[in-house]
Amino acid sequence: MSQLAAAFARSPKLRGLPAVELSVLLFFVTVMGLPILFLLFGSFNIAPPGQPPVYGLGNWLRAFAEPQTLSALWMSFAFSMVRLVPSLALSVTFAWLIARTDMPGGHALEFLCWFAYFVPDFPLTLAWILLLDPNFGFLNNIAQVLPFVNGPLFNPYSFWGIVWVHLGTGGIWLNVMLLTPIFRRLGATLEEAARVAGANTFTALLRITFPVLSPMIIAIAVLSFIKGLESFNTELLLGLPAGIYVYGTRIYDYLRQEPPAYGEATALGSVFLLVLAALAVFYRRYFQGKRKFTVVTGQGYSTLRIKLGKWRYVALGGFVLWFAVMMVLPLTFLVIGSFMRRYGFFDIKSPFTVAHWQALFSDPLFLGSLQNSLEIAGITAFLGVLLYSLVGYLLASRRLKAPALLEFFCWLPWVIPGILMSLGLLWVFLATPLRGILYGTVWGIALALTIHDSPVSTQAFKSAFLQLGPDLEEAARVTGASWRYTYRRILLPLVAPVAVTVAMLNFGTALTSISTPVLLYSAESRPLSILLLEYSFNGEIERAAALGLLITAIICAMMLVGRRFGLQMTNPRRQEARPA
Amino acid sequence: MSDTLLEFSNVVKRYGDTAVVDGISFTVARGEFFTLLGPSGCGKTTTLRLLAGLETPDEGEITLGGRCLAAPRRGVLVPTDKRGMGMVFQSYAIWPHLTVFENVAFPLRVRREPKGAIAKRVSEALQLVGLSGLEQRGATELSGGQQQRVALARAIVYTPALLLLDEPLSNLDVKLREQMRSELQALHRRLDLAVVYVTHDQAEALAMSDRIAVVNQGRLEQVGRPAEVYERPRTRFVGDFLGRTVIVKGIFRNDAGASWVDVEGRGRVAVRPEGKFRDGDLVRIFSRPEDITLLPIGEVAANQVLGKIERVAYMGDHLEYTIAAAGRTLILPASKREPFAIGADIRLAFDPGHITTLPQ
Amino acid sequence: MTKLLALALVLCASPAWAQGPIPSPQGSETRWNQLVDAAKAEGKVVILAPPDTQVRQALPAAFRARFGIAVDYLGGRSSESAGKLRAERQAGVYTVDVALAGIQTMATIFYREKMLLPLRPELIYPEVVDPSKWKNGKLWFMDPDDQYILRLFNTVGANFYIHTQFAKPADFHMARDLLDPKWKGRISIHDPTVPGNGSNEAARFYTQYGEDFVRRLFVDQQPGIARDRRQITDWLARGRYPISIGAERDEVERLKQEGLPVEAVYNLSDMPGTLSAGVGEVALMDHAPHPNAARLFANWIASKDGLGVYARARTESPTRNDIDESSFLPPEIIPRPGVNYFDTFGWDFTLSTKEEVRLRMKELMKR
Repeated sequence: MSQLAAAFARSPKLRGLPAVELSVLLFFVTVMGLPILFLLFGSFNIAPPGQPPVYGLGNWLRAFAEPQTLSALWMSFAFSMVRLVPSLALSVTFAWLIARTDMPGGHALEFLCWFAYFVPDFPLTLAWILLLDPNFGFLNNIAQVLPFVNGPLFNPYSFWGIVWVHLGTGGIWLNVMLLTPIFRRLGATLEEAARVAGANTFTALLRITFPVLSPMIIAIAVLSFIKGLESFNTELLLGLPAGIYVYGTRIYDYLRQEPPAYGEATALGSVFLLVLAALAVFYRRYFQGKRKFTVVTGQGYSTLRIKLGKWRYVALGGFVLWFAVMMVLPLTFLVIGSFMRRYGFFDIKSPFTVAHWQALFSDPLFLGSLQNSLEIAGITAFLGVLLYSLVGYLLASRRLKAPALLEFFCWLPWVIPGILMSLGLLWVFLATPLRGILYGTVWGIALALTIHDSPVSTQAFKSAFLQLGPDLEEAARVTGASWRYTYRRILLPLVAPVAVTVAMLNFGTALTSISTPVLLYSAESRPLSILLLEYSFNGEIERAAALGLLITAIICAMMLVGRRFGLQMTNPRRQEARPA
Repeated sequence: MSDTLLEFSNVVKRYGDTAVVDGISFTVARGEFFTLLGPSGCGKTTTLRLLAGLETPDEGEITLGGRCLAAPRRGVLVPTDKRGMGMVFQSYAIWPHLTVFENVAFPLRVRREPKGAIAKRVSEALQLVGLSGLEQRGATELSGGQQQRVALARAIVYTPALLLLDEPLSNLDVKLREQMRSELQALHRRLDLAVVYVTHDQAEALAMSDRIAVVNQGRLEQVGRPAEVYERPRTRFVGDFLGRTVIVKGIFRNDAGASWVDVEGRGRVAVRPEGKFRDGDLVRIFSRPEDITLLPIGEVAANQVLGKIERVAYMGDHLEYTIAAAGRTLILPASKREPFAIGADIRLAFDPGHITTLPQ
Repeated sequence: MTKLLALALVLCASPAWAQGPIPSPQGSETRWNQLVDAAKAEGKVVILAPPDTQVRQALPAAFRARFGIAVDYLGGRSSESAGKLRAERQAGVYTVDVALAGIQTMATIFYREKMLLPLRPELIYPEVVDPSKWKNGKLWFMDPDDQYILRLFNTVGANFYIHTQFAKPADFHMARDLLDPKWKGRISIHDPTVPGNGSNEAARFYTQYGEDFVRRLFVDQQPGIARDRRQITDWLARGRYPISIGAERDEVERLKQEGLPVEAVYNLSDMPGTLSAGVGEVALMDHAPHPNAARLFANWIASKDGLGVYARARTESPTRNDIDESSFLPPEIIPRPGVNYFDTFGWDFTLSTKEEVRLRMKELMKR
């Protein structure tokens, strides 16, 4: 590694890079660039597996020559675009309501969003099928009572059915989680200034707050868009019966072949790289010269909230209604499902049982997996904060020689389908001298998971640091604090809410991710999510639901602890209680 | 300037192709209050940041107390935190997650001072800036003026070698600003600290400084004591920037050791025989409005120029005349005691001690 | 629970293997004891096996009870295991001793990529190498070399499943009855365009009845297509699609246990049912990190005792004839002599027919 660094340092183009930037870049090249290079390289190998390599375009041609590939890609674009608008509008509204208004129960609602994000989506989709299926869906049955309703009212096996289910799972909740701390840090001054200038609350929001936050909002839109393009789980359950194929399904098909066709899958996956590149160019164009949005300084920091008057109850009502329909309704089914002999079958005799929970806890692998999972998640959260606060700081400092490069790397893990990324990493782990530490160990899995959420983590920290402005840091440096001391005592505490968000996000992802550990685990480092995979694979949905709920509960518990800790770090009053 | 503390010599800082600091040199003596004055974007803040080590110079050398802080040619660059300076930022940069006490104690904690010493010195510093009793306040719960004092206390708590102040008063209201100005001066005298002060407010600069450096477009236009800079500006820019000016065109005359400027046949003004002009050169003479006396029409004596009152404005404590003279329109203040009527011919009497001749 | 209880009973009743003398010639007994000792010295065995909770709990427990040797059970999708193994091998890392897998994985990955060690010479336990203990009078090696991949299960599969409220067993006499227009939109299939259950079924119909039949069944009948085994079973259970071609036997078995009106249709006059081995193949990986434990495990899983445990856990019919399968299997799934079943686990069928038909299905179904 150090030899490599030295080699880079000798190259004239890179010599100008400061050491920190260079080492972060090298790290990313190693853990993100190399795996992808390996995959791309491998995708041109057209020899049968196990044979000496022969290079050619066969895999790529085959993958793209299939007539359905393009239509599936188009379908994915359509899904992603259609979802984007309502999802973004809702999440921005929710985040603003929570962070900037006097809507009651904001903190509790934010917590709910966190919870919702980590509810496993597979059983949730099954719950929607139970609710909406044209034959036996509960809501359809209820709707029969209404006048003028003949036949099923809802059909989840359709374009709009898929959009609907997606609005309830993942995306929106994640966006709210990411946007809320940013709205909070924005402070009230700008809005107040606009209000004084004669704008009403809405105008101030539209003309001042959103434009100021537009880089972050657009970044989140891009995140959602790319995530949407890759999505295929819900589409498999709901789209397949309706003949709807998405791009992710096609990649998945190649990966699941026996033997798996990694070459074709990589070829298809590379489209996401192109999308990313296009979006990156757009993003840079759009914000060229607009990048002055340093907002928070030590002075004039006001956290006054906007008074909604009686509208605050309307806002609360709207939020609660949304949450009830999109989350509580299916979640109730999910919870009940984990206590049913068979998920969703109420008419069999003695339908309820605790057997699945018992089976879960008595699984001989359960305790060991739980311990591994907690270790992995803990390490991931720690590494995530450490790494991405540094990356976010570097990107925000505007002192980088090659910010575009670093930014590009940060997005990579989300544009490569998870299982392919894992495969690439597996190869890198095996090839390094650190094999013993990384391969098949909790450390290796944690490292892979840390990389997994780098777009979110980086963007979260970057925007936090951008809002912070350089003065607070420079003030500390002038008083004689080293950079590291400044970072630890000034910068990190100031971005503590974001750090806690990122830590929790990484923690949660580490607990729930399946596609990342699946290639990297060994018997010694098997996490809970692999058990979950096995249960699902076996058709044991009820036990899988129980385990999924348990994982969600663990994440929630950690979150409560994390938030308290985060608040303590940001609030000067509370800090007094701690020994200096 | 025998006891030089800071030497800032030929420093250049470029952003891309633009030199923001374009070969600035000055020195600061121990205990001196030195001000960098200039319009925004002139490079004065960058100069300060170069001093603090927040920017790295491209050329030149910065030396503090005999220790070289930055000399790019020799590859010397002392990092910010090793320079031992104190700095107050324009935004104050109070850390919102720390209390007043912790904000001020930070530099001492960095230096690993013993706990008792920290408490003592923080309370001294806070007392000095008049914030005793607010130790446990959250920093964001303070008013702007109080935050400013916290920032000041933080900058002086460890007795820095040099105190850097970046427009510290610009965010305060007028009254508070005047109060803080005198407090700063008192503090400066008491601590006997060398101060480099950055401002765009000439009144502040004139009132507080031992010496002023006027900066324009990355270059030093003039360095000198306040009166020197104000009354004998070396360039048009310095003159304009430091206050209102009266400028009259004329022809330089030099005869038998005496020098004067002929003002288009409307009078002549004696000037110092400056070597840079020759007989017949087109020049401008420059004076501050308060150095010109208005006289009723009569025999035009030396140092007088004829003019005509065009308008009068009542300013409360004085009158302000708009006068046509030497083909220009001048605005001059005058006492209310002997008012002139509109249209009256008058004489403008220049004070030869307060005149500068500039090329046209 | 009953399964576990049965398992416990079997464990208690069977002879104490490792300790007791083995009724065989002296030389093989010595070899055997040496193997057991060497395996114990290695301490554990790593097996790549199906992600099945029953098996994962039953096999390691039984093996450990016999020999005191721990089993690291890596249960994963074979496509993922394959990727992992390939990467490991390229880097010269070998982590797996024994593989238990389906024929597809064995043939198209492990065998084709030469990851296997010949198993036949390593089988030394007398009752394993005794051909008379096997149903066909010989060990069921599947591969052309007749020495790598040993088949352990041979189970009769239902042709399809029905919801008896909407379809009666009496409605079906011949395969052609599935093409009756009244079943249009009433049949569910596992997606035949991806490798797996669906494409296997399609290949079977294609081979037996030709393309025209397949087109009429898979296209004209407008079947409901799913990939999730649970989704397909639930469709059957609710009568949404009362005929299911893609459902899995153990899933339907669970429905029956819950009292739902579902039935398997095994034999039609021109459709004798299928034979399959599920994940019932064993092979030795080469460069095994625990070579002796690997050999011991392979011998054990092919023995009456080990195969008994495995067959019970999977509810499959073993290829040995000395296991009392009728005590734990429904009679329909035990192959009867004289019936001309369609074997979906043939080597050529696996290596070429399935994939050819799958690709043809993509064209037929325009997917």
